[in-house]
Amino acid sequence: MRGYKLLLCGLSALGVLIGSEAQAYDLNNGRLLASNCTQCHSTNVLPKSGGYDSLVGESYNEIYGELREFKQKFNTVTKTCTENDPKECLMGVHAMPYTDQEMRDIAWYLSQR
Amino acid sequence: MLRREFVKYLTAGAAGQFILPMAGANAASTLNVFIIGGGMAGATAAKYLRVWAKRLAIDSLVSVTIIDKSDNYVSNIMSNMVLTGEKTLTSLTYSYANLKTKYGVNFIKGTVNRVDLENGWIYGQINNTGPTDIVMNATPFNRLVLAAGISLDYSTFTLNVPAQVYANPYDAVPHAWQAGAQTTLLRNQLVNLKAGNHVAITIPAGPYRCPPGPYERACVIADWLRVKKPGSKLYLIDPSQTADGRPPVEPNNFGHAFTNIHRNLVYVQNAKLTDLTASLSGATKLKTLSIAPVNGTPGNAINALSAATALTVEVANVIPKMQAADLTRSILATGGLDADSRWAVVDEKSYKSPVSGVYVIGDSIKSANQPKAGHIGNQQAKVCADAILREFSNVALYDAPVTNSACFTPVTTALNRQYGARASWLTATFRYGLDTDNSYRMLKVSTNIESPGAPSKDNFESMKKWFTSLMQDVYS
Repeated sequence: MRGYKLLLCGLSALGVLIGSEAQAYDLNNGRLLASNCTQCHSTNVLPKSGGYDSLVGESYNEIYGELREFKQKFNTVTKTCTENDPKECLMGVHAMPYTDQEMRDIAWYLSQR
Repeated sequence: MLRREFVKYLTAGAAGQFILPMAGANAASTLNVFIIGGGMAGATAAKYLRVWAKRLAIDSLVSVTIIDKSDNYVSNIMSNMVLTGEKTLTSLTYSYANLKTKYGVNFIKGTVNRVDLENGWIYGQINNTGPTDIVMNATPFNRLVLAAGISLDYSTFTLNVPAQVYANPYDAVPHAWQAGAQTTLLRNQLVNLKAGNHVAITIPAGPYRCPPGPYERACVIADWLRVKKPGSKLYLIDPSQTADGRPPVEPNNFGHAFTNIHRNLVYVQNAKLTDLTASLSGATKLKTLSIAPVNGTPGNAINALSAATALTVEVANVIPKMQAADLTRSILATGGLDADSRWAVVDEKSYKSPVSGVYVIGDSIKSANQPKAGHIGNQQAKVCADAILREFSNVALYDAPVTNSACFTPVTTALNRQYGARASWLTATFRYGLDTDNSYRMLKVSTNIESPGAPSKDNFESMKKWFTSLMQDVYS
């Protein structure tokens, strides 16, 4: 996968048409967006004890899937949580702003920790 | 994998996709960032500048220095629990040791007096001793981040404190809104109360640091008083008013707590402090608060004040009106402040000031939607750090950064036999975008969302995790 990413970067630099897969993960944007997560969830640049669950070791698919699931727990029309569980509601609010692309960027960045 | 990220970073620019014009300080070959203030925002900016610079393999080009008057940071978050004896200030104290040793952040202890923006020199007193206006930085900065927090404005009321009551008149009105000695002062005054003595908390006009803070404080002190000082009341004096008489902040959470839990809490809306006079009654130090309606028309018939009145209590916790730190306002006096000269104007996409080379983060900024609080200050700092590194590398800023605010708040204490220690929370998310007035700023993308249901023990346990994690993100 690492070679794949590098290859895509190289193609981008050469001005080759970038396919949807190549656009899927922008590490620069992922770095900034995912920093919202590190307030509560560990990455490997941080020590961790006594806080919320760490995201260290979670795969891209796990994190992306969780973000999508949480996002659905907030109703963007009524701007209310669709879950009465406080933890689910809190994460619903936090996942809500992100586009699908941004959730992919976040998941990719965090899965590389 | 650092190389992959670095390659992507460079190729994005090399492809011409994100290239920005290089101008002024951007042309410098190294970044020398000085951050004034090592609180939640300043310390986070320092850490993430270094962490991300390392990930981008440019850390040898990025020097970061914090200047703070103290070797340690005392957290305002959770400091209301020091007032009730549930936490100690020591447990809320964080050193800069990790930032220095793990991330290579430089630290200078001292008090800044002024800044030469043109030449990059900072003048002040090193180690808070000796000459007060000497150069503090060995090399001139090319980026300055102001994260100096707030200063307090007592001009909204008159303070009459005879010397025989308090040698220092401000000891009659401890604010305890900057954790440390003030927290201890207020704690001691509360402990020394006799049963049946009363307490008042006055809320300032907004914006102020930590919007839920006064209501949280009212809850935990009322809970503590009920057990420790039977017969004592807590008066909460609020300049805001709402149609239903519930607090303007977290109306569900605090409304529930005020009505159903804290029966010794007297909540008064539409009320502002105009005068406080201290006096002695025997050995007891009394404070008489003159209270006046803010609005001539009370907003409700429940608790909105309709006519001026007076209130005498034994402890007066006056939370004063706030503004950006005096130093911040001085540095930005020409072109960097809002119309009232109280808060720093920034572009919330990068936290860049109109004053060249300066960024402002945290509680000092004027923001239409983002609150003033440590949690969101932490995230603003990351957006700022990212912007500084992108600009340095000639990579376009992220179009629409996202920040979030989350605030857990204790509503009862462990002393409460019926409820135990319970908490609630408030959260909101923000994204940079075009507002209806055709200006770009951080917009709310969620409304303020309160924790569902009544304050709970689960929320209290989550609060501990939230605080632990957040402080690790800043200082560990």
